Amino acid sequence: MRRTVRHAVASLLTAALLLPLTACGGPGAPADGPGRLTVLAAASLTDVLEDVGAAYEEEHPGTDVVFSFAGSQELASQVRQGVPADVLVTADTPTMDRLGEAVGEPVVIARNRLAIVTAEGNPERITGLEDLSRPGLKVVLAAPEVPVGRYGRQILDRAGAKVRPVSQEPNVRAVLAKVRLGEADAGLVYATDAAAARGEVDAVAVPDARNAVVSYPAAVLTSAHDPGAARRFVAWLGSPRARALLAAAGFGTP
Amino acid sequence: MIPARRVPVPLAVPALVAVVFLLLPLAGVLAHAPWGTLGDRLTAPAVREALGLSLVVSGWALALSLLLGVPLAWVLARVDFPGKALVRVLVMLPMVLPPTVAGVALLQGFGRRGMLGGVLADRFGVSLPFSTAGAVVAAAFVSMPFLVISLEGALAGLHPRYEETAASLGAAPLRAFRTVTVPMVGPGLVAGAALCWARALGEFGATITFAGNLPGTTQTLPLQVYLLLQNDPDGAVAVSLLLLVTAAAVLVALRGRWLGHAAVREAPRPAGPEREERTGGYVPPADAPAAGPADGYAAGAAYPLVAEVDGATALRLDVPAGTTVAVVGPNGAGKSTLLRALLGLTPRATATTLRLGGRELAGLPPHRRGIAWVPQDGALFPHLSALANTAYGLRAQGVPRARARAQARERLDRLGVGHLAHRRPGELSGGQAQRVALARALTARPRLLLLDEPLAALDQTTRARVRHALRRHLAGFPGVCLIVTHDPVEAVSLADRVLVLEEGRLVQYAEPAEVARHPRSPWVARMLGRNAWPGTVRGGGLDTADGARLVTAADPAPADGTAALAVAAPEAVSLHAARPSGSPRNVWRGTVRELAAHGARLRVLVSGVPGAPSEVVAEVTPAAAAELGLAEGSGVWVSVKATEITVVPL
Repeated sequence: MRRTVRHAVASLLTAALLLPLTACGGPGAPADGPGRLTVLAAASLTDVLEDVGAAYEEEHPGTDVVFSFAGSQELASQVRQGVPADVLVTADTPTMDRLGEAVGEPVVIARNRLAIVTAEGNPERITGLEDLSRPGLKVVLAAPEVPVGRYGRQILDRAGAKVRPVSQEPNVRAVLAKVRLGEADAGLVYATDAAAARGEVDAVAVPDARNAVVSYPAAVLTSAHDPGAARRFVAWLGSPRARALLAAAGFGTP
Repeated sequence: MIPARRVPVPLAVPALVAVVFLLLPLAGVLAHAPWGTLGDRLTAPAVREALGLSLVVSGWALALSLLLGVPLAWVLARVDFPGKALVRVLVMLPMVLPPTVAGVALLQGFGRRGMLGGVLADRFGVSLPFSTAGAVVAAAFVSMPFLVISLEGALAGLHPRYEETAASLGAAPLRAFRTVTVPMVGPGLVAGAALCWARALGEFGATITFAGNLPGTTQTLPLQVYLLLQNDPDGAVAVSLLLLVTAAAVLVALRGRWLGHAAVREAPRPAGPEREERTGGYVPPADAPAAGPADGYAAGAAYPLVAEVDGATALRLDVPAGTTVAVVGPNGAGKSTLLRALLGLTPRATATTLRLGGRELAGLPPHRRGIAWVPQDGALFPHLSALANTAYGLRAQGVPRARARAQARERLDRLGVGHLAHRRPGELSGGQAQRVALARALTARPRLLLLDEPLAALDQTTRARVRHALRRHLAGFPGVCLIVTHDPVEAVSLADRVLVLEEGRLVQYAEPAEVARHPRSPWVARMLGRNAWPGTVRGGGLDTADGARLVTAADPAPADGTAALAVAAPEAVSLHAARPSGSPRNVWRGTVRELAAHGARLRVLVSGVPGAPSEVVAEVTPAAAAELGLAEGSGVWVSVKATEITVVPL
């Protein structure tokens, strides 16, 4: 009796261990499954695209949209390494353009702006970009390798603010996390990220004239397993329903 | 070293797959490395800066881990305290914690709003996040457990007798830790340190989360690789290569160095007796002085022993200076417990009184008692030469190195092993090692010498030589020497007195000849090779405990009712094919149970029929055995003359 139980447990364990192997074994890997659309998207789109995806699935029964969020540059290098996916949405055009033949014609689906985030209540009384150069203030920026870091430096340079960051984070969410955890006094993030963390951080708006215009281009990967479905999804991102969702999350529309 | 042999296929195939699995990605890095521009990429200031920072951060993380982790490993391996298992699990947790989570946890602890970090920031203005110190903290947090776990394993494998011997030679606990424990776990320590350092060098998640990423301050190589990967994959591969080569170089250098040492230490030990003949067989000429002026004792010094031991072993000892006492008794009689109680090394028994030469030592820690101990295998420190081993006690007592070494060399010379002074214990034969161990104990100028079965591990020839050396050198010793032994020859030939222990109690304490003549317990009688039957004296004989009656001719006979032991030598027991007629008064029938050669004669174990002594050992010549047709299971008649039986009152 005891032995049978042990055998049963052993078989179950073996099955459980082998299952993922069979699942990812053949050419029909999950990313390429029929009816499944894999979208690589910039980290700043994390919250809104989940909603957009759900809406798309609702309108297109039988389609399963899965997202993989990361810094745009990281996504680009994944595409270069041949990651099995269908659509790429980055947070800047140069990153998309550098991929060349790996992607189809990009379409801008949303726009964004930068904002300053501070601890809740803005204890350091930060009112604008110039304040970020104040000595002793702990400012985190994104690394210059990622789009938000590049935009951030552009607008700081234009404002003539010489900022010495205490850290250059690898993506916009890491910048937000440092401010949210109280380790940094201020950071430069996308306005949409600042809005999403409302209640935990304070946002200080940067006037349009001194701000950067961030474009989010979307494109179908040349290696997409079902380019037609991928194209339909990209086109749908320009639909009124998608635009409404993006606008509700604070994104501008093209 | 395992000899080369055919590897079974079920092991060879997975092993090969593992090698391919682990090496293929590395091969990929090598294949795609931008070899043409590698030089320029790696000498770029940003890369040099990150490499330098990586080395600084991982170096400090290792230093921090050693400083805190080595004592922690020692405590976990050596000290029993409630909740130890839990503490061990908790300190190992960072090994399995995802590094980014570790980073968040570090922020909660040491961050600006963290439990300790808040205090640090408010009181001292110290802030760890975004600083190089923070990167060190992050690296140490994830890498220290690797050092602790590997060192604790090494410590657990190290028998405590080395540390205890060091204490008996006068080394305080910290000194023993530094000079014996740490060097002996050296390979384990280095392996742990290498693992710890490698983990610190590759640390990424906790660092970027806790310390952030700023070139020159917290951007170590792994962080740089991560960012380079995003827009300069070739650069990332180049920097990864640099990281790989740096780590591999350090690990190979360490391994080579330490494996080299280990190889010497584990050199095949020369076969004992053979080596003994060639080099160690040297016995100093008979007129070589056994005791010399360099012994370090004051003229006329004498250390009689007065001790009262209580606990699992309980007895009182009052032994004049210069006496050698053989401690004998069955297994578990408490012989080792007695020695360890005198040393202060066991909770099972304590010396409530311990006076050596009038000085009261009970209550002092082991290293301040002046009691030298030679455990069964000698417990020579394997990392020290014979000379350094011998000088250890004097060095621990603060004698300058040169003088300690001179005295040690002289002692080794006198024991006939001076020519082996430079050898490590692994290169000594068993007999040589025992002599060095004795030299080490005597050189420490002890006031009491404890030898635990000093000859047990030696073969017969070597045993005779070492016994000879032992006798000569104990002669000049001004204190008491206790020798635990199982060997009757050793007890009789080495000792002035024999102390018989049974179940933790003193059974007999007398001169060897007296013990041989009148053994007070069946065990000691049998150890001395005699038949012994416990029983009660009654009417000119003895009623044995197993229901037999023996006629004895003791004069004067002990009073009736006295508990006594009837003792007879095996040579006095005769065997016959038929019931013997004539004078023997003790005759019984039995069955041969066992036959064994004993020198040129045969020892025959005979079990008696009911009503006769249950067991008796007789010694007969092979010719007599053949004539009687003795074989295991054959019937035989036994006779013992009454005059051959000694009655020892208990």
